[in-house]
Amino acid sequence: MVNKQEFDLKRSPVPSTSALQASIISATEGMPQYIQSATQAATPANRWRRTFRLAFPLAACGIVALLLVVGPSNWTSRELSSTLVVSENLNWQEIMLLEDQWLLADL
Amino acid sequence: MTAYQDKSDFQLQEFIVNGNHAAFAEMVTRHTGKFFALAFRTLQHQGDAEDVVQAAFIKFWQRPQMWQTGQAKFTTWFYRVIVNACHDHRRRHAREVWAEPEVFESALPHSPSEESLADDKQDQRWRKACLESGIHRLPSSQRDALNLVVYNELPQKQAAEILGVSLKALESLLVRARRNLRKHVQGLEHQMAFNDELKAQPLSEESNG
Repeated sequence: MVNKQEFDLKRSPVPSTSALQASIISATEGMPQYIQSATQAATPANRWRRTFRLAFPLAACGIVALLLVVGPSNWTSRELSSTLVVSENLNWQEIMLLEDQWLLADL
Repeated sequence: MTAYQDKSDFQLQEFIVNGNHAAFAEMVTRHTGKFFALAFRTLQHQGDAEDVVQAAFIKFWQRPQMWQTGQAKFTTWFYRVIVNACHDHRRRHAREVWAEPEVFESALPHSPSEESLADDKQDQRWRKACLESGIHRLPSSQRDALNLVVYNELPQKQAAEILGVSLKALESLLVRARRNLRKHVQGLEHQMAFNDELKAQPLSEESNG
């Protein structure tokens, strides 16, 4: 019975929906719709209002992103320039002597 | 024949957005059957399925612009609404109706052979009840896939779109659903056969003695 090659998935039929259809149609008859938001969006004034409402957060995000992108590169270049200034004052002889000492210590 | 019968779902929605109730009635007449079938198969309860479908259609009447025509076909979108509504309903009412899958089993006649061996109708009823209890035990993703593809006869591609899964994933859900159902029904059959044997044993011993 169930061990058949093709497993039988037949279920009971679905009840008729004519009463349900009538019920839905009568329930919605005279019921108000909430389509104001759609019509509001279509007017130019509302479109501008929505644009401005979106523009401020977007602009703020843009500024923050710009600072994040531009800022660190400036800071880095400043750091680099300062290290360069320091490097000019380095005593190369001293450094080489120290390196020689480390090498000897390693040996 | 109404004036809207030859209109597409897209055209009907435009009328509905403008408050045309006759266009909405056409939409309801056109699609209620298949949406109710899905809800009925999912919830396994006529009254609950009717409530879910009616609530969904009422919401659509109140806010017809919820369906954004560029995104999906009306049926695909509304099937998704019904699937989600059924899940919500099951979560909220995980109580009385089919809270315990055993409800099905207790509703089953003791076994097809016990009641009347020759009665085909009885046997079919027993098998269908087994199947319903098995479907109730399936994980919701497998049950949804099965209901959409097997019982609502939707193309697999559309069913995958409704459930938000890939075609491969849907196929695997269907395979697992069938395998689980087969296992469940076979398990019940073996259990029933075992019960029958147990009941038959004392009788045969008595007759021997």
